[in-house]
Amino acid sequence: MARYLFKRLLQSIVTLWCVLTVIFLLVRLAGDPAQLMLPVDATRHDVVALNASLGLNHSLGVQYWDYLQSVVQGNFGESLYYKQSVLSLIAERLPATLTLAVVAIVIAIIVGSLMGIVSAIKKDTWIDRLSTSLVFLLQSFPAFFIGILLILIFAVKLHLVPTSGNATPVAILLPAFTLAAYPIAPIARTMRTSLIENMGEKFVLANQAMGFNDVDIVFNRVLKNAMLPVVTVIGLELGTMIGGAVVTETVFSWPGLGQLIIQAVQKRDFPLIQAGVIIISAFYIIINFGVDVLYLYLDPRVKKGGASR
Amino acid sequence: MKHFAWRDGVRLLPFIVVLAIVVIGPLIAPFDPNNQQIKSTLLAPFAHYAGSGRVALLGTDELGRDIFSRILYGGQISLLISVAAVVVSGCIGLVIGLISGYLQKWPDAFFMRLGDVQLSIPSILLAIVIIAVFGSGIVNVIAVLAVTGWVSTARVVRSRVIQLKETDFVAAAELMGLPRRVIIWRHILPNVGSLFITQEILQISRMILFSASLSYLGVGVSLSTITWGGMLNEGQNYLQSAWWLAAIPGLCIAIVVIAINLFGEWLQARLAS
Repeated sequence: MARYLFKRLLQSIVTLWCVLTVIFLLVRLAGDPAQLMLPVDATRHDVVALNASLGLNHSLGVQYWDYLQSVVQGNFGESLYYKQSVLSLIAERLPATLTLAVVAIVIAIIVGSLMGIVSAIKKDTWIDRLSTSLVFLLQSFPAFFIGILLILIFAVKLHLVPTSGNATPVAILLPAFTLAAYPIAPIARTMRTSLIENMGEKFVLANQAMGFNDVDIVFNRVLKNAMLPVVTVIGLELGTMIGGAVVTETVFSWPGLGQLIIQAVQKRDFPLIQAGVIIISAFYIIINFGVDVLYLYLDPRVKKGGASR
Repeated sequence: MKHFAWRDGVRLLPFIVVLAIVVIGPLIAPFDPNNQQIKSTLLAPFAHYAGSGRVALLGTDELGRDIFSRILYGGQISLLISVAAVVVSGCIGLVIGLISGYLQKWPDAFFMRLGDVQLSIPSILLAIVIIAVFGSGIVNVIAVLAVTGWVSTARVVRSRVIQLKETDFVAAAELMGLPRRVIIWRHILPNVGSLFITQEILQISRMILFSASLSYLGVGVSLSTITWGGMLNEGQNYLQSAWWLAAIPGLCIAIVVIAINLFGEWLQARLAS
């Protein structure tokens, strides 16, 4: 088990290193980074000055080494637009994004699992069909459109919640539901399939013969086994959710990391874009590692078999 | 093959209708999509234009442009971008999947690790970085979508190829000493075909959603090009007074995606039986 964890940890670190390299190469590939970072009307002199201050006049190898060193030290440089440390800008915005993501994933897990469970217990009835069709619809709507529809109904027409921002606690409801819309569909689908599969086991038949009802059997005996594939799907969906957060934050003017990055793109603030993407990817890698550890706890077979991925 | 029933019709018809409308879209558009009618701004659907008295089927936007015509033009561009992206990413994914699955060893390890790394950068962020570096525009958006799309195709193809390698007919072909090229081309590829095609059909709807998100965020094609995502973005400013500006393009995206997904599922079921 310790060996598996160690191997998985090493894998995560290698992945993170690859991400750092890819982003370094992408930004350098575009030709002259100083030209990219400066406004279009910058003079030759400005370009030379910025090159010197960013160390861009060194060879690519030296630059790469410097870059890795500063990233490891948590030094992401200064934002070109805000003229302040990139890290402090990100730290300011991170709590808003994390709150949104946590509330959204909780909603998605509860709603998605319940839909899947109801579908599985009432398999092939109208309830199952309704729930399956809802899941299908949910997958076909662009997330930002769901957000706009929610604004239209609950903020513009019914005046129940504000249209944007995070000034009041209820303001989180619409963005969280919007962000939850994507993972709900795959969670519900996987839960349904996995439960139905498990319901075919002999011990379930035995329980049914003993007179337990299906709801009791699902919640007390089958659910823990059926959760395994659902946990994997939740892990996979976190990436989509992080991407979705960028869009959702823009729809609702939610002052999080996603909005910061989109604004940075519009202002061509490269140090900020670079740091934002690195930090989000790092979060994603850490979360995936966490999901694998959780898997280890839920499925003892992984412990015995070692790395089964 | 099963008989053709009404259930097939439900899954096929929306796809055919939507495809037909999107393909001939600009031909049936009643107005020039960029023509501004200052006297008829923010008309509701079915309202009449000032002066000419013609009907604005889906209303007009803040500059008095005909939304129905814009939808028709925008649909063609959105579909074109998505299909082009799927063709490119599908080819890359297919080749990598075949190589990885058939050769295994280091090429497999290399490509699959590359895929893992790529997936650990959320695709929308990767797209944003690439567009920030290389600039926006239709070709760049297609390239970005293709880059983010190859991994899933490669993985699906690879796992199918690994299954096929275990079959007797491939083993027989190998024993006969047929060159790899022939085995892949004649024995593996035809058996990957149907799986590959369903996968790519479903990828089209994914790409439509993805490119719409990029346009919505304003990092896709330039704002002067008509896209549904871009229309939604502009329409959001008028939610209070003219909700249809945002609702119509959003619904159109959803309808197209639903039609493609229904078709994809129909194809999947049909090819599997």
